[in-house]
Amino acid sequence: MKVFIFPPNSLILSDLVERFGHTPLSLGREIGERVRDPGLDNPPLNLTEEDLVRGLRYVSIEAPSGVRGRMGVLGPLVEQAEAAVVVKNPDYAFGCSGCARASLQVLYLLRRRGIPMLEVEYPSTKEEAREMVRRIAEFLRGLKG
Amino acid sequence: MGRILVISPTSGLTPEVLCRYLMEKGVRAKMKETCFGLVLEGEEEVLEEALKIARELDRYGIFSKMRGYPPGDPRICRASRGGSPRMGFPFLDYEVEKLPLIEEALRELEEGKLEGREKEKRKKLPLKELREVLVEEFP
Repeated sequence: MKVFIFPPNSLILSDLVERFGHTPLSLGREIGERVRDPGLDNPPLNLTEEDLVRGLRYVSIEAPSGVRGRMGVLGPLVEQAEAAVVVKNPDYAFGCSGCARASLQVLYLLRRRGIPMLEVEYPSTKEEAREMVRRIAEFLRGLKG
Repeated sequence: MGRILVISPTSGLTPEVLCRYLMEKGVRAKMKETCFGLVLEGEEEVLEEALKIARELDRYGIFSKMRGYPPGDPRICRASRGGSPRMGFPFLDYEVEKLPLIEEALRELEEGKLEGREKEKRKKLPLKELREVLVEEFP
């Protein structure tokens, strides 16, 4: 099954989803396809005008271009997702991988879709790590498809 | 496509050992050693095979994800940008710090130690006790 992960460039979530036999919908693959496409005519940017236009399906024209561009990439991933694993309040989702508003919009779209969704937190102790891994494993093993 | 192999800080492996092992096994992908592991570039099937081979060395200590830019890409390479941190590195660095915890939890999960372990749920404070607390705090 295709599992959306949030933050979308998370190493830990991407790895765990693959370990338990599903396909993570991560940012790396999306950006990889774009930067290898000769249509990308404006390096070092990794977006095209098409992405910005696609972003209009998820946010209004008044939204900042950063939000619109991010939604142009992340929005279609949310639409493809059959399940989602989300880290609650990740500090680093605010930064190079997204902005606070784009993150809120992604979570809103995920909740509206009504797909199975697991919310976890980054661990800081061994016990929290055990809890996180156990919950993710149970969730992913329970997904059919 | 590109893929990152990240070695957990508690693993006994080094990027050099991992790189040599993959080369010995005949993995036909472009490889670049970095401080946290390897960056691989090649066909997707080759990269998946490389990940399986890498996990022969350390099943729980090697983590992986897809990577956007190819290794040495001049658009993001620090050599051509004149320095500054690598894009996306702070987040990767943050997650690498957590890898030893995840590694140990995965090992315990495989050994079946985590089965049936439920975290004790926090119950709501009964009204009577809450009233007692309030009376103590605000007599």
